[in-house]
Amino acid sequence: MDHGLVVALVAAFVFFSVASPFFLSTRNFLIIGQSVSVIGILAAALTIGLIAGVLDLSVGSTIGVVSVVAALLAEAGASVVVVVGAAVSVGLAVGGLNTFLIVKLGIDSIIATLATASVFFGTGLILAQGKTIYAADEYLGSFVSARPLGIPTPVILLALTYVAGYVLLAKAKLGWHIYATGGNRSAADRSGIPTKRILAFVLLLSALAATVGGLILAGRTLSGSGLYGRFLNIDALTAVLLGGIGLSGGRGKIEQTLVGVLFIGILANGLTLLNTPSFYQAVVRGFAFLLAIMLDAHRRRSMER
Amino acid sequence: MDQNSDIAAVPLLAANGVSKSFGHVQALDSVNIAVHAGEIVALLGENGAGKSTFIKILAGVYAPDAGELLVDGRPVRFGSPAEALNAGVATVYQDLALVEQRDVASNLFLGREFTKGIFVDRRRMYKEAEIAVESLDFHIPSVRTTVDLLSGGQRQAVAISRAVAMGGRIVILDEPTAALGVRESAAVLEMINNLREQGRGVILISHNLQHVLPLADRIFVLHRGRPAGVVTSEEATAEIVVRLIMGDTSV
Repeated sequence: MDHGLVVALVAAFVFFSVASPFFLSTRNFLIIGQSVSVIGILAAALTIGLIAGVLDLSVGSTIGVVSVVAALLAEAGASVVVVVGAAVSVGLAVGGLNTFLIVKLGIDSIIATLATASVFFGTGLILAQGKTIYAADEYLGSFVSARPLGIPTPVILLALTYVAGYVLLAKAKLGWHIYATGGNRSAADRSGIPTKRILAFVLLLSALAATVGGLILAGRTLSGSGLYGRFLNIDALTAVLLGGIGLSGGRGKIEQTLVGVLFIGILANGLTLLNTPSFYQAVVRGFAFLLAIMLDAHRRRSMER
Repeated sequence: MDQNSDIAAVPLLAANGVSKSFGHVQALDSVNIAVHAGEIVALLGENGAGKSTFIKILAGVYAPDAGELLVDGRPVRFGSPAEALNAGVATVYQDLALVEQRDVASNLFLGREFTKGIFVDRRRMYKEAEIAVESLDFHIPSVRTTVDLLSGGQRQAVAISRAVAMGGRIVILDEPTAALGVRESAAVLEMINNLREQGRGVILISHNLQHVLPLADRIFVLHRGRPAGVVTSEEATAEIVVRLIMGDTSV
């Protein structure tokens, strides 16, 4: 575990607690939790993918397509079952296409998903004809804004994602095989681990995480747009890299990613509370990403000694 | 010896008349080998002599075009490395096939983890890993150490331990000392000797005659895909073996 980030998290926490009277409150923490819920779910899926040795860059634009599909169907008066069913089908199709390119054809995951990301992004825009569709399923909207036990549903989903991710990676046999696949695929193959099926599983998982993210955004904004999710890729990846998962595969823990996610959430929230204009926040976001990449490079160098 | 054969005289693994071609290239032509329990046989030959192809056939990676494989005297056909392993033939490749980011225990039981339902039975894995490592008498700091922190010799030891832990009665070792220094080579050779003392059959591929000659009970030599000769440890001298390797048929 990288203690540097935990220290940075605590430092940011203390700083904003002193600098803003609004920071240190249960209400604000729930706001932070809500604001990172989609990024956090994506980051969890990216973490599992990176450990298995694939990077899925198409999750952001999948969110856009899913939100558009959900909004269009709601506009047409479809039932919640149809809306959610269609969204999941989109997710499965996205995951299936990525799997075909990466596992079946053997194309590098970054290149393959860079291409499919563009396809999905464009598909979302075409379906919505470049507009934002203002329509949402009633049940979806109230599900996303519900607060059982005072906790917003997206925060609950976020927590469940990390618990499930932890159990998968640390406890399940499948999780151990995910590490082996990302660590040394040919060794895993020779040991009888079904690496192709594992990569397919991981890619479907990230597509479905994006589907959940798309539905949360559609339910929260009561709308759909191909532009939703555009920056979520980079935010989620920043959180993953800040957490220290690394791009080389085979190592890392999902708890580290959660710390990275919380760090990004606290940073954005604190800057907002201090009235930092949003366009400055984009720059901060970019620098945070650079910092994350530099940390990863530094870690790899020190590992090679 | 064949006439008054007892159980021990039946080879653990034998290959008779094995041939293999790739396109128009005949990689192996009627090659034989036999390894008994408690025996180390060396497989020698120049680069391109067919050693790799041969061990891949023994390991279940390739199917032979002609000839047969026998395990415990019974004919077998390996459709995959997993089938070979199930029959007790474990191969330690030169690249070792270790997941460096994972710890020793994870590597020892890679793909064959002990489980409780869908979960890994960690306690049992670490316990069994310690037993496996201790039985081969090679110092490993801890079965919880990640492999990337181990020396070359320790990695070799982990790979050999895995071959044993996975039930290898016949262990095929491809250049186990190629990347090691003097001291670690000696320790690995000692470990290979232990395999023999445990009654396993060992097939050792190596370029280093200094390592092979004192250790091997018999030496099989390949030259351009054909058997060039078999010598026992008593008759083996560096000179004879080198001449066989070079394809000198007058020996």
